[in-house]
Amino acid sequence: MASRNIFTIIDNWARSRSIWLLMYCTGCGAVELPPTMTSRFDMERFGIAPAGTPRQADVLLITGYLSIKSLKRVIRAYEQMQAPKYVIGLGACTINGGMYWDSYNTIKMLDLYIPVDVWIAGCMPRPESVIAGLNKLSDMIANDKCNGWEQYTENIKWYRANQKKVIKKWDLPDYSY
Amino acid sequence: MNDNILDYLSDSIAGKFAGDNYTVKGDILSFSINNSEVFNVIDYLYNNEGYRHLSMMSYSDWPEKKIIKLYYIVYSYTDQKTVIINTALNREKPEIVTIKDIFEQAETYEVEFNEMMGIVFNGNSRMGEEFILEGWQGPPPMRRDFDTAQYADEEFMYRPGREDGVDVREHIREITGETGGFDD
Amino acid sequence: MTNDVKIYFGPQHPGITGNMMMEFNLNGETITYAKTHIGYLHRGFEKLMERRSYLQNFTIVCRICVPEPDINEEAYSLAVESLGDYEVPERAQYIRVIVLELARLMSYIMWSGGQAGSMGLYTMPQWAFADRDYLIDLMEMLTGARIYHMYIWPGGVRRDLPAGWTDKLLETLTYIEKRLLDYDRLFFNNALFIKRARGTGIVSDKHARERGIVGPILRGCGIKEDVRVNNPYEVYNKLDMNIITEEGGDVYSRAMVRRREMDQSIRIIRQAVKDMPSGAFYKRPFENPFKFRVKEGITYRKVESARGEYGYFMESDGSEKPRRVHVRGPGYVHAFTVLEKMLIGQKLSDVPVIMTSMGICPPEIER
Repeated sequence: MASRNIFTIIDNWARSRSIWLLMYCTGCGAVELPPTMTSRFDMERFGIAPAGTPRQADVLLITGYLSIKSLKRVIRAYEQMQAPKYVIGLGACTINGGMYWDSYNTIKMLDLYIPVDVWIAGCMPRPESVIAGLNKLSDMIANDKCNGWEQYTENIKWYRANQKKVIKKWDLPDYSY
Repeated sequence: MNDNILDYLSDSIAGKFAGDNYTVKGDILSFSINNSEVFNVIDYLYNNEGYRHLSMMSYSDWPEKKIIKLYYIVYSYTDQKTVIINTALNREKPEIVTIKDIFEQAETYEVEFNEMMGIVFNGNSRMGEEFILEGWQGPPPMRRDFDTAQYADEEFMYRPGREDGVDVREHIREITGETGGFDD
Repeated sequence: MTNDVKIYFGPQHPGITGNMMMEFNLNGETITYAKTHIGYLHRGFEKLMERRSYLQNFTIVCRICVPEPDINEEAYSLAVESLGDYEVPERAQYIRVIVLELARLMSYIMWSGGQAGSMGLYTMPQWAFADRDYLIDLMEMLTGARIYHMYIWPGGVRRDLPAGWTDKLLETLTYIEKRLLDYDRLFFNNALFIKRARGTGIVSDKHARERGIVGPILRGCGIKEDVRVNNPYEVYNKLDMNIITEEGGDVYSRAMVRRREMDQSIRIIRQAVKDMPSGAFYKRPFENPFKFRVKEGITYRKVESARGEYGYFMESDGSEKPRRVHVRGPGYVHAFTVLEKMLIGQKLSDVPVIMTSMGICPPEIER
């Protein structure tokens, strides 16, 4: 754990007001993101903006279910993001598999594979719910309660074991957080 | 007047190829034929009768009868009618000749059917290619003896239930005093 | 040996339509080889549908196509009704037509925002998604949900129109008609859009039909094909509509086909509201919902979606669960045999423009 001092408080205050989402539509929940971004439910007034590449993004928004093929790319995108980074799980499919609970190709619990900070329930969540979830994330960042990325580096062996169990065609390096 | 087109067509096909179960329902004619004649029938419909649009191909697994049924659905823009051609393949070794020389979009369907069901299309050079699944080790997933719920149970971990183990309807009843109308 | 660079226009990219990957070989900025990779959204829908009964299936079927979910419910209901010879009351057919045309309008408005955004005009998505939200409000008043309605089921629709809904619908349509004129001034008559879109992504019309191309792409080449006119379903044969075509086969003609069809959709909805009879909105096809068995047989039913011919093949063996349900999305043919050949010779920065214009939507390709 890094040391907590006055600069941490100022950093967290600044980070909670400027959250950049990665533009990656991983599942069907992504169709409610354009209404959230545009003029009716405007999320830019909270300081939330889309970012094109993982190197410039803060938050990875997993919108819905993840197939095995997509999970490998999500892990790669997550590891390319710079710390501090956060993950939000949107929809019922990230919580317990949702309506695809008996499918052979989707994962059922998201936080076995990457650390998740905020869950948003719904199928699919309304734009107001998405903004409420993002506001909760911003409050948690300001109060210094979001350290999922530190958990990932400390427990990397456990996460890697879970990932290798489902991803059969494995070609990611062992340590690259 | 409209039904006569399909009746005439079914007589014309029955005269040239040996098929059976000719059924006309609405705008659709369906019949079944031996799998060695499928290429010739589709070629005849394409060149002589104007059925030039391949709507789709499909399959279905019948382990009770030890066959895999394969369906070809073609459509004519001039007559605006649909023909479904039905053929049966041996379930142990399902093989048939490809139709990608008539319809080039059939190549994609055949690659998917090979991955999902295990049907081999002779003449298509992309057999065995990974199309939808990645790193899949197991039987072709659309076979009826592959149990997807059991596979998901063994492979993935599910979230455990509520910690206090309380039944949800009981809990709602306690909090709100409403019965909900389901159990009465 | 050429000096081509291989890049992956990958699943995470702001310019790609959905979650799919394209693999390119580039010579400078010109594409010399293209291959499509899908599989990132595969849920095994056909296997899941074999394990659920007919009524449970209609609740999950709308998630196959994300931008326009109502066509899935419609095609599924048509297939079940065709297998079992169930009839649908006339009022329900008119309501279904209104819901389908509203879904088409929403999909076209979302397409126009995406097409402008791929060229760099970001005002247009802001307008388009805000106006589409008015239509989503109408659907929420009617069905209770914003995106996945679960409203059309075998035998009719689930509930009747609420009081005051048709008045609100006609007001919203008048507002949308005025906004479409604003879209013309901003985007469709914009000289930069016309200069960039003409001559890009040409589909030559000689073999368009035989290669399996459907929908606005075919109509943009001048070929008159529309499932609503050629194989009418519901009450389309009683409504006054014609097939809209344009010549050229490039991105501009496909955009103009869609723009003119938006006006036609509004006309169709107004006609349907005027002609709608009163009566029942649902005719129950079963006595016991737990034992809803459908007669044996096979059928293939198709509807016209915003992207083309959308078909359902269903086989039933007389039990409570369907034997086989197979979905044919229009993107299945467009994304492989058509796109891989068409992109050779185009520039890399035109790829999002062409893919949005072809209407490639991965969830319906790999279900």
